[in-house]
Formats: sequence, structure tokens, C-alpha cells
Amino acid sequence: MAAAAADEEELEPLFDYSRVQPTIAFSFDDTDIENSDIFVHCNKRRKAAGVDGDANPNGGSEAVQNADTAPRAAAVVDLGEEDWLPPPPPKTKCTVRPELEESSVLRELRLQKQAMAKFAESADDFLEKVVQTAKQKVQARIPTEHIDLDNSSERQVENARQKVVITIQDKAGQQQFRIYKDEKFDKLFKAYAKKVNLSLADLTFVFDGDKLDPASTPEDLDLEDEDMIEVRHK
Amino acid sequence: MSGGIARGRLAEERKAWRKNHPHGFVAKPETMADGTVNLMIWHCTIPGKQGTDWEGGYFPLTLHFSEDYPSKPPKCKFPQGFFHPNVYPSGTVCLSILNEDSGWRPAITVKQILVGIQDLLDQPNPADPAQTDGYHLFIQDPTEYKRRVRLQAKQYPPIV
Amino acid sequence: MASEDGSGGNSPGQAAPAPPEWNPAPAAGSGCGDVEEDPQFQCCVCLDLLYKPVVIACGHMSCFWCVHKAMHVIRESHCAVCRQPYKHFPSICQLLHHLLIKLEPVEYKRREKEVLEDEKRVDTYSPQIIEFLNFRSNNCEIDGENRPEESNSQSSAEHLKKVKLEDVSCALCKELLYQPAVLNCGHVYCMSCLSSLDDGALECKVCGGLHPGDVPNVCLDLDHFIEEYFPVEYDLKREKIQLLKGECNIKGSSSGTSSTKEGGGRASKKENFALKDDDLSDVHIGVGCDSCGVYPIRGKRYRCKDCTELIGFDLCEECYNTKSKLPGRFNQHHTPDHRMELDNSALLHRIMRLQGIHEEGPGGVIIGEFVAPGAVVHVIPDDLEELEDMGEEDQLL
Repeated sequence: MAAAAADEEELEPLFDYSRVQPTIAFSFDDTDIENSDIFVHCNKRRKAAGVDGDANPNGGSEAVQNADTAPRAAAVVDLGEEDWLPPPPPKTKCTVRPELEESSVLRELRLQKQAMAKFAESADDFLEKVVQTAKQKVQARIPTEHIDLDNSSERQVENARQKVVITIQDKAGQQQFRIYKDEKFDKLFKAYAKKVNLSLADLTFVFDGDKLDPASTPEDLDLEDEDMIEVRHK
Repeated sequence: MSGGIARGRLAEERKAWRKNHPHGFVAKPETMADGTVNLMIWHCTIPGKQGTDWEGGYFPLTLHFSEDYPSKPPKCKFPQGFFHPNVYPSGTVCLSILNEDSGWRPAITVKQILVGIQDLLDQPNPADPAQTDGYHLFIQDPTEYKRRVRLQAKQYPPIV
Repeated sequence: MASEDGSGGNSPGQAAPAPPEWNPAPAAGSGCGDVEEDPQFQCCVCLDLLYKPVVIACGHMSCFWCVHKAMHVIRESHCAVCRQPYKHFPSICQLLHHLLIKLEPVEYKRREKEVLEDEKRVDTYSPQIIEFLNFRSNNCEIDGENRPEESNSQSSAEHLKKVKLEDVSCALCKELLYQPAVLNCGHVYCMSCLSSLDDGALECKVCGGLHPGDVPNVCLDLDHFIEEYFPVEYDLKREKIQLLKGECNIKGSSSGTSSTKEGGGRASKKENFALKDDDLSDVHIGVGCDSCGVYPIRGKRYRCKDCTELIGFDLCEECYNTKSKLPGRFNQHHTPDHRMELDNSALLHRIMRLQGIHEEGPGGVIIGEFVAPGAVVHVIPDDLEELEDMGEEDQLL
């Protein structure tokens, strides 16, 4: 931060922390970090969209996949572009059970209808009402069924495959790691400790000011791609 | 047009913060009892700068944003009675960049605010005193001032 | 510790000489070739991708609504980046708008959707058709003229191409923009071309609109983009201009903050606003001129009786007298045969009288930063705690 983004150099005359910077051993200048290799992911989304969007304006996520022209974007294609929102629910599986639901209700209705038919003709009006309300019920139930299904199947997919890129920052700089969303932090912490040649016992990992439990997972904390974890040395 | 852009901007601020922020700083929107997030109030931590008497302290700061943000600056508050020449007894920070009529510009980000306040901690502005205690000691009794600052840093140890 | 010498530090956050850049971050791979890096066309107010960018006279830009919502309803407004004061709400920069459609088609579309939803909610719209008229002279339509979908489909075919030289060329010399500056009407010129026009009133060669105030500053974000996107052409143009003009006018106008030539009052409009802030009673709170963009209008205000849009259609006295033919800045369907009438309803002194406030002036009175068109203005005292803080300060000194 401090001197702020590079495109704000005109900002400095009014807002100047130059005298702060040299005494600090770490960087808050976003732009430099973001421009540097370790942070390429951060600019990925719009960059990818911008580059191949020219060729494929409605491309969405496929556009990212095809971003051969943007080598950096290509390196992180599997991150997808929705780092802020959850991915759209897969739609293929949802059709099955609502149909079952519907047909079973309809079957009931048919039985009901047969039974009702035995009654006098005056019952017909009543029957129609029953059918109508029942249909309404079915229709009302379909959307909620959808959501349940979507959520569960989505979770399964995530559990099976989804990875997340996590930035670990210490006082000197940042490194990025890619781990499974449902994998315990323990593994990440050990890998980090090994990399920096320090004992795990001397490190504290912090997210949003809270100490991270090695037994929790990125998913537990709703971590998104490039979210930053801080490490403090004891 | 009614409806400001405060929330949209704050969501972007939060997004950017999660991805990158200066080491040791914390800034997160308030989470209500029911688990919903209130973007208009942020709970932050400012670490005392290394090599100063403030080092070792992790000072809690609350940012109160209004619906007029970013046209208007957030109100930044330390705990009541915080010891610093430019902090009002109520805890409100007095800093030119946080003053709508002098230094505030909508382009200033949460990160810049927090770094600016960290800067202010060790470099008070005697031209703009906000509390008697801190101001008088700062002007008249540097040794005692130093002692009080160090004492306060110990009062706010790291949470983790 | 500053306490050692008792003299203390400087006022934090105040002006200081520009520091050398200190970059502790690893520099590997930074910058070069990163033409489309994110922050380049990020709005400094909403921190999202710029949408319908508006360039203020100081050369800084924000989204249409980010600028308009942040403008002061009673006084002059200040740039979100450099605090330079300005009084006119500029028109959307057509060149930048079309540039962004090409550079960020997906994200820009997303922004379009989001903004349109907001606009529908409040039933007030930004210009929906923004034509890129850099090459057609003497054409007065800038924005807001409502034409059906056909131009949309045509422009979407355009998006398939990458940015071309003519997308970023000067309205006057027709060559690649070098140190571009954006006029109040949203049209873009090389700074050097603009200074050649600079005789008396600054009139746009594309739309004929008079630019109020001084020559605008270079729009640095656009300049940097062009320099990176067309490095060879940009260098050629630079050499050419330096040959032609020598050193004059070029370096001096490029610092981006407050280096406008102190030309003094150019347009007569400026004199209208030479009044000091002490008399604000002739201010039409939250009402802007749909022609020149001055906001708020001071003095006489003419309101259209036939425009049905919520935000209405208003002109300042000067634009009323020049019979502006612009359709309006908020997509109104105003036509020249609409009837206009003098309107005093939003005058500050009227409102103060209604609230029982004496006319000594609006000192100590804050009026909501933005007033929805036609809304009731609430005059409220200063934030209570702020007062308390002030009190504390007073006791102390």
C-alpha cells in the first residue's frame, strides 16, 4: 500500500508515506506484488476475459480455458473465473428426482381419482380442485427439490476435485500453494515449514486475525482462490 | 439516484484485502450474531511499527462507514481512552486524510487508512491535538510519554 | 520516537515532496507487457471495472454514476483522486467507453447488467446509446439520443476486433492520441492539438460544445494505456510532436494533478461561478444542467414542463439562452419543442426558509450529499459526535 497503486502516482503529493516505507521489512505495495510472478493469478480473471474475450465475447469460462494467447492465464486455467461466487450448480442430475416425485404424486392422484370416480358426479368438481391443488403442490415442491439436489451434488463435485490457491505471507514476502479445498491445513503448514526450513512449532498461521486450526480445511473457512494466510514466527 | 455505492465498494475493498494486505494487519467486516456480515462496520487490528515504542502492540480499531462512503470517510475509532495525542477521548482518530473537508479522497482505500493510522501512531501531529493527556506528555515529558506508549503496547498483545 | 525532540512529526498524510519509488516487492515479471493489467481501468471510487467512464478536468476518471453520486449538491465537487475542485459533470467519454467494450467485453457486460438493474430500481438512467463520433464533425448528438437496438448489434460486431489505432485517435489530428485530454463533452484530443485550439473559448470540434473552465489535464490512465498498447506508434508520435512544438506545453501539462494552465476566465460561464462560497442562496440544490453539466445550477434554472422522466430536464440560464439541442444527460427524451419554465423550487434560500433557518448562510448545515430528483431535502445538523469532538478540541486549545 502506502504509495498506493502505480496508476496513482499522481496521488502521492497529497498522500505520502515515503518516510514509512524504508523502515518496514515487508511490502504493502499491491501493484508491485500483483505485477510480480507470485501474484499473476490475481490479475488473471479480467486479463483472460479481456484477451480472449475479443475473440469470444460471450465465452464465459470456456473463454478462460482457451486463453492460449495469454500464457499466464493459461497457467492457471483450472481456477475458473468465479473466485467470488460459488460455481453455478450443475444441472444435469437435477431432472431425475423431481420427475420421480411428480410421477409418484400423480400416481397417488390417479388412485385418488379412481376412488373418487365411484362417487356421484357432483364429486367431479371437488376432484378437479384436488387435482389442481395437488399439482400446485407438486410445482411448489420442485424448486426446493432442485436446490437440495444442486447443493449436494455440487458439494460432492467440490469434495472430489476442487483445489484452491492460497497465498502465505510472512514478513518477507509471499508464496502461493495449491491445495484441495477439503484437505486439512496441516499438510499445507508442514509443506510450508519444510520450504522455509523452520520448525512447524515455531510458526503460527493466521487468517483474518484468527489462528488457523491445522485440522480445519479451506472449505471450513470458505477460502477462495488467492486468499492470503499470514504466518507469524514465534 | 438514491442508493449509494457504499456496499459495493466495501465488498470490493474486502475482496482486495483478502487477497493482499500488509503483514500483521487485520480488517474484517463485522459478523452479526446470526452469521450475516455487516459491511458497514469493520474490525481491524493495526500492529505497532517495528523499531518504535509501539512495536509489539496490536491495536484494535473499528471503522464505521456511512451510506455516503466513499464520498465521506469512515469514522475510525480506537478503544475509549486510547493514549495518543491525536486520538479523541472517545477513541476517534484525528487525521487529515480522514477529514472530509481537508484530506479525504474517495480513492483512499481501507489499506491506506490503516497504514496511515499506523504511521500516525509513531508520528503524532502536535498541531492538531485531540486529548490533553497524550498531548501534554508528548510536549512536556518525553520520557513519561515513551513509558506510557510502551505500557499501552503491552496492553494490546497479539491475539494469536 | 518523535517525543525525544518534542518537535514531533509532520502532519501525517499532508503534502510532501514526491518520494522516490521504493519497491520491496520482487520485481520479476512486473509491468512490461502487462497491457491489460487490472488496476489500469479500475474505478477508484467503486474499485470495480470502470463503466461508462467520465473524465474530470483534472484528468482522473470514474464511472458515470460514481462521479454523479459523489458530486456535492450545493457546492463545487472535488476529484476523488486529487481533490481538485470541479463544477461540471462531464459527459461520458465515448472513446474510453468503446475501448473498454473491446478490452473487457465480458466484465463490461456484467457491469452493464448490474448498473442497469440499479438504474431500473430508481427509474433514472445513464445514457443508453453512446456513439463514438470522433470522426464525424458538426454532429451534436453525444449521448442519450434514444435509438433502437440496431446500433447495438452493429457495435457488437465491432467488438470482435481488437483495439485499433483509430479507436484511440485524436478528434483533431486523426492520428494516435499522444497525451490525451478529455473535454467536458467527453471528446478526446491530444494535448498539443488542444492547445492549438486554445484561443478564447475552448470549443469541441466534434460536437461544438463549449468546454467550461481551463484546458483539462492529460488523462494519464489513457495515456499510459496507449503508450503500452501502441509503443512504436506512440514513440513516433512523441517525436513528431516534439519536433513540431519543441519542449513547450508538453512536459508542463502532463503531471496530472494541478498543472492546468492558469489561463484565467475563458468561458463567460466561469464568471458566473466566480462567486465565493459565502453566498449560496441562489443554488439549486441537487439540480444540474443537462447541457453543460454544471452541478448544481446557480442563478436561473429552467425546467422542462414536458419531460416525464423522474430526474426531469433542466438547463442553466446560459444554456437556455443558447438553445441547446442536447437530449439530456440521463437518457431523457427531451426535444427542442418541449416547453421550458423558470423554476425556483430547489433554491437553497427557499428551503432554508421552509426549515426556519435564517439566511445568514448554510454554515453548520449539512445537506445530504445526494438528493434524489424530486426528493425532499432534509436539512440536518452536524453529526453529534463530531460536535462533541470539536468541543473537546476547543477546550484543549
